[in-house]
Amino acid sequence: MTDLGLVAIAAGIAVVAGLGTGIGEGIAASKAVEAVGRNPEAEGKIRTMMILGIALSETVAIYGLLISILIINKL
Amino acid sequence: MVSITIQVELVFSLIIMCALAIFFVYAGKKVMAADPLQRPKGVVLVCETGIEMIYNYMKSIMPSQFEKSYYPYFAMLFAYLICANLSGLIGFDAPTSNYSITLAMTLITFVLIQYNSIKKKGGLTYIKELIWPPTNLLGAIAPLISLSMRLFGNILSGTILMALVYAFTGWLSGLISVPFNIFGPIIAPVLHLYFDVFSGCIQTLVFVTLSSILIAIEAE
Repeated sequence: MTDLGLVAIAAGIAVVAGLGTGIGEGIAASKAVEAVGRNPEAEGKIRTMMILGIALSETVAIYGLLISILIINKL
Repeated sequence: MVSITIQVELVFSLIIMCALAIFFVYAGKKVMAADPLQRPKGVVLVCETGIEMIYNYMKSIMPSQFEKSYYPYFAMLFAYLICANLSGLIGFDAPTSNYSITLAMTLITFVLIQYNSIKKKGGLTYIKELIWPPTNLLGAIAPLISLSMRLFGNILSGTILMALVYAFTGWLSGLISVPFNIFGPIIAPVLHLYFDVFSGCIQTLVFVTLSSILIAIEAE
């Protein structure tokens, strides 16, 4: 295992941080759709809140992508 | 002799600031000269609609005691961040893809949070609550790092992914021996729509909302 190979493997493993994000955002979106189905008048507020929550929890996946890009640039 | 390197994003940030300043001076003159009893039209209408949208949104997340002092600052932050994030479409290197610029904006928010906390609690109680329990120190540093990293990471990764897409379509066009990049302008606009427009607008909303909520929590 050369140095270059290990660095490449590390850059690939760093993006696994998106796994939890995908599951979490799916749960958030499903709850939002359910809430709109229960109360169709509050659609605007629910949409704003969902977008805010999704952007906040997307941060962790972006951290993983950033680390992977920084590692690849050192190659 | 000392050699200074000026990073490109700083120059683009200055260009955006100058353009915004010229637009605001021009719009301000038009607003001063407009008749308050007639219906607004033109630039005055655009500015009034924009200010009303931002004002109503800020009113729902920050109590109205901050109306005079903080609402204009967040409106200005909104305008600057939208222009800075979308300037990747024009060919600029987006200013927010440089960590120094996002860190500077987050430092302003950090200082505002600590100032409001000291004003509310008093100096001694503030220091006592900062030191014990020890996790409170982390809770004060966390917004600083997370706000700046979120904006920086989103915009920078969008820029790098678009560069990769253009490189790939360039190689593909070279395979078919066309001298210029023919697949780029066909495939790229949809990706630009997501990475630059959608991501940029959502990130400005999140930055402004999070900053104002953190300040409002401290000042209660």
